Amino acid sequence: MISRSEPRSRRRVPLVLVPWIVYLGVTLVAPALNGAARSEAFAEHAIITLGISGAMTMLWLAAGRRPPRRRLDSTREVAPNGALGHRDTLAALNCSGDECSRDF
Amino acid sequence: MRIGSAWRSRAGDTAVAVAALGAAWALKAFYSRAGADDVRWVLAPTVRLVEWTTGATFEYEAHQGYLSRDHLYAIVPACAGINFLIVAFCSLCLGLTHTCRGILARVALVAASALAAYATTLVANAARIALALPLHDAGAAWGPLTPDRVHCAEGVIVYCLCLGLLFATATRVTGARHDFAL
Repeated sequence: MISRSEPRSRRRVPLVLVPWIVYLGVTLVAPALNGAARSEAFAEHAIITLGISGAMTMLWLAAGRRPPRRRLDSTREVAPNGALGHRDTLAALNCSGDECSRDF
Repeated sequence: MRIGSAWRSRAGDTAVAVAALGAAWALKAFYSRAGADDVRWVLAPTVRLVEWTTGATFEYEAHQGYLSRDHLYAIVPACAGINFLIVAFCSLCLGLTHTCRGILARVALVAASALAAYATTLVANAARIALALPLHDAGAAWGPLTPDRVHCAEGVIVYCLCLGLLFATATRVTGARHDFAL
């Protein structure tokens, strides 16, 4: 049963966006609200800040979604019937890291 | 009972957010009027780090900041990195508050965030200035990237890298979730 405090369809947002949003808030939104947006230098600063920080955040997001590398590839022992060997199974069980825990 | 617990957790998260944003607002207001003498608590250790890493020497000029006569380079209050300090502190508080259970844990989060943000600010700002120094000496410019734009871009890259590293380390240490619900 779902509690009332946790609605069924709440949108999940990557945590990575928190520092990016705060960064943009402090470096662009706050000065803009204080009148800095009228100067030409601010537009230049805004383009550079948005472009670079946005690109770096997207790279970070992409790196976080990269499918995990599996150790199976390096220790593959396939029996004539196609079954995985004993070492393979051990490697799969011992595989550590956050990404791998989702797979096994 | 589950609703009460969720409500308490939500109230705690909100309290941390209000405290962090309040501190950020106060620091930003202080910084907008601060002179070189007011921000020496950030500038002085930053300059020591820059001197240590680059070998350059800086002299303190009262009410102005730190000046390197060899490089004709000044580290003024605008270079103090207070905005980065605010960003790092708020990011840690807002992004990690969901990992805390209870008031003590939340107070510890705010205190640890302040310390980590200050330490990271010193390192990030010193790295930014240490990299900016040779670019300044060389008058680095590429096409539409004037020296001023190169300086700005270099600062954004260094700050974003340091902020990312700080946040990634903090999420790993606290075991924070990788996403949150809106």
